[in-house]
Amino acid sequence: MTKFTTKRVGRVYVHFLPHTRFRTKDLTIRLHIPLKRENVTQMALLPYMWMNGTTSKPTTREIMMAADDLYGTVVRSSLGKRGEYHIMEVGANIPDVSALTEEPVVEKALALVCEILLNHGPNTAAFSEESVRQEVDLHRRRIEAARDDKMGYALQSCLAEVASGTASALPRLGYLEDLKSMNSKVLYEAYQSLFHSAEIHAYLVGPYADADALSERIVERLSPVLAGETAAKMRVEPLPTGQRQSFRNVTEHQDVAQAQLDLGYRTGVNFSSESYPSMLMMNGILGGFAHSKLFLNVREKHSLAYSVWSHFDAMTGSLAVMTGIEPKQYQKALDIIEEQVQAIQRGAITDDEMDFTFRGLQNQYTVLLDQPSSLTSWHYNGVLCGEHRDIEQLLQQLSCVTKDEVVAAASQLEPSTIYFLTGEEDAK
Amino acid sequence: MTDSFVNSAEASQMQVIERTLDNGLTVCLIPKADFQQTFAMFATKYGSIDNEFELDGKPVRVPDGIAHFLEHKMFEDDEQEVFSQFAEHGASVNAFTTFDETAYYFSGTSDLRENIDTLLNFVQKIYLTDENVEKEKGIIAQEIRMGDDNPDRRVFMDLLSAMYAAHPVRIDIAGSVESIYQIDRETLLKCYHTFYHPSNMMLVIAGGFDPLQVMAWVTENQARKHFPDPVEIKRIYPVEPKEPKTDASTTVLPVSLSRCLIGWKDTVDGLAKGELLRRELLTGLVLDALFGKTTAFYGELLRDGLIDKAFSWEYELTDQYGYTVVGGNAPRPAELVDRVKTHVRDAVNRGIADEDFERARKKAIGRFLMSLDQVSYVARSYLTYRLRDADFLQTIEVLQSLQLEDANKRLKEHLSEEQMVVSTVLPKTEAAS
Repeated sequence: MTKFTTKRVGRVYVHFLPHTRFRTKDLTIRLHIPLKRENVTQMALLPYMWMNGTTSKPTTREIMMAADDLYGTVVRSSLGKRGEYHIMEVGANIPDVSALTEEPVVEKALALVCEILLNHGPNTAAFSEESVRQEVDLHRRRIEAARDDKMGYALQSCLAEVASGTASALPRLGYLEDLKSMNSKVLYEAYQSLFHSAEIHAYLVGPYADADALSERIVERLSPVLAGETAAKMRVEPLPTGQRQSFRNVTEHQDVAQAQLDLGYRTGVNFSSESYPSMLMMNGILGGFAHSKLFLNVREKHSLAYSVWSHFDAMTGSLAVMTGIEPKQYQKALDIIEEQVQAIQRGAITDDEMDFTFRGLQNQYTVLLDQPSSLTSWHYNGVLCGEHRDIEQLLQQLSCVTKDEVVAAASQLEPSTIYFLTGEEDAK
Repeated sequence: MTDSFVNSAEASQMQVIERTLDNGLTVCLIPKADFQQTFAMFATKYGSIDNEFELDGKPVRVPDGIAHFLEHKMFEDDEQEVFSQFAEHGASVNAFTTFDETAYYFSGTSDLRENIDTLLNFVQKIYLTDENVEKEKGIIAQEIRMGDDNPDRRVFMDLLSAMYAAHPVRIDIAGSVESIYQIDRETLLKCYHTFYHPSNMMLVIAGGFDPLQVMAWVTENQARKHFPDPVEIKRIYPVEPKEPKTDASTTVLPVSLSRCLIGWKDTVDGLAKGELLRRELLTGLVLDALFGKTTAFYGELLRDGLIDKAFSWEYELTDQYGYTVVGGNAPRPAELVDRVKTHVRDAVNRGIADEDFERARKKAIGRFLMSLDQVSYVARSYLTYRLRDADFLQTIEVLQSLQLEDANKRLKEHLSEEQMVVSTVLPKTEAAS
């Protein structure tokens, strides 16, 4: 059900999965390159720049008009980060309007997406000085606005501390201080260097009548730009472990009404690891669900928080516990969270916790089958980690995880960082 | 029991099987063949605005935020945790409260009958003790504090408080830390028994299942339970003037970017029955043609650094209130407001261009079709519209029937300067300088 067919020419891969259940045709093109301090900011700007105009559609407005004319096709470009890689994405969600029109909506959408990625010259549209000035200004605000979402900001800060010393710690959006040196030349060079080194994966999921022919056309369009160079295989590794035995405390003061307390661990396990299924179970029992230990103890039993979860990053293998509390409850919340981790480590796991967590994960992964974009992301996880997992196969593996394996996974939690974001006046 | 009927919105190729049970509960089933997931939503037409109603012929005023508080408390059970009951059958459960509804829902891929039973059973049984009511106050206080730190939520609630003089839509859905501390067990029970009668509720299920079978399960579950005869619910709403209470509101928060929302208060008097979907879609086309990303206006605002790409528009309509909201992050709010005012004035004089109107219509049709891939969205939208006496699945038919002249008329009557309100959140640093 989730088997993609792949075509490959050099660094270009096209994966397709025709799916007649959907009304949305999902087309996604992703490029990944290693994060580097010296170019992280210019690379981060690129996907935003592309939407400012192409050679033949010199403004955002013209791009958006072309998309709206295709029955509200959503064209997008975005920037992601997985482990130590930057991910640039362009794509389209195309409504299946074959019953309403004979217009070649898919062909036109594909052409538009490729144009957004490929058709830019120096000093034209996206890379004009005016466009660069505008985008640098917007990017400054983007970086600043990330601080306004306190929960997200705290988690990112905590994860950066956990990854400290590795490329994974570099911020997705880059640095404010780099923005002053951005100009069209710097950015255009970054754009060209992206094509010299990136690995590129295109995805087609949905009710495509002619996915095979369409994937040929994607290869035709992309190959010339990427020809001649072979990139080294770029694969995500989990953060190394064996470096710490106790938490490092990091406290930040901001003017906030609610404090954020996040605990970060390294696990040494990621999507490609054999123990990935048992780590998923462990995370679920700890804090992935409303039946999990954290929710029941921190929230339901002690009313310390509205929100308390644990989050396991399938790429870096870092695990973060996050919660919003009253600043004066710091010690109590911390003690309760640590007690829950220790409980799993010593095997205090009930049959219900095992069963409910398995069933919860089963539900989460089965639901992915109903979502074209999730199927793409799932497959791409495999690309990044060099190990393709089938959803059905993972479900089978999860059903076999034993309590001992969950305890073993919990014993791999290596304490890294206690990150506390609290009010300017608050002392612990 | 009234006969079931099949309602099929032709253009969307979706089918709804609907039935009203003997106890008054309306059940709507939307099968989506081949989907793994089933999404079920059980809702009562009771939200944060229902803070005053008549009981035994006497008016009762309850503390703000009580509908939301009750939503939290419904998850309490004297036998087994509600979350665990769903977890046992692999479903995830949650709930939300809006101004005019409280909804409980689960998403699952197996054990459908058990999960439907659990959903119906936990919402149709209340277990409150003084102790568990007290316990909840700490949790909800943290939820409210979380909202206080969120500038987008603040700028929106400030806008509604400025727009409405008396109507409770001006009050935060969760209430305030002060108001929730006035809530007690007895008042919660009073609200529960008034608003959680099956005749005031609706169950909508969408996903991959056999509708006849599911209808039989639901009917059986309801037949096992006894409810008092329904009484007519008399909600008391204050008289709300047509004009906004005030034209502006400003709040200073420790944020790095200012926010600015510009709103227009709509009139709901004279909104004919069945007219809601049409007015909502028509207003959406007007707003997209005026403020959408394909307008020259949007490009100019972006170019001049007055907005960023999070700039958006929204329109909300019920039989109690209606408003348009436009805005987002805004580095120079006053300038943005001036530009929007001038733009609307020009648009009213010139009228919307035919091609802009057609593009907006085409886009709305495509976006609607794509939304049908998400069972949770389908169930939620169908339910919310149905509680407001509208049929979400008629969207394409209604969109196709709208005319440019309707849009221009709507633009003139709705986006008038007398009805306009501005809400701004300023960064502390900027306000001090």
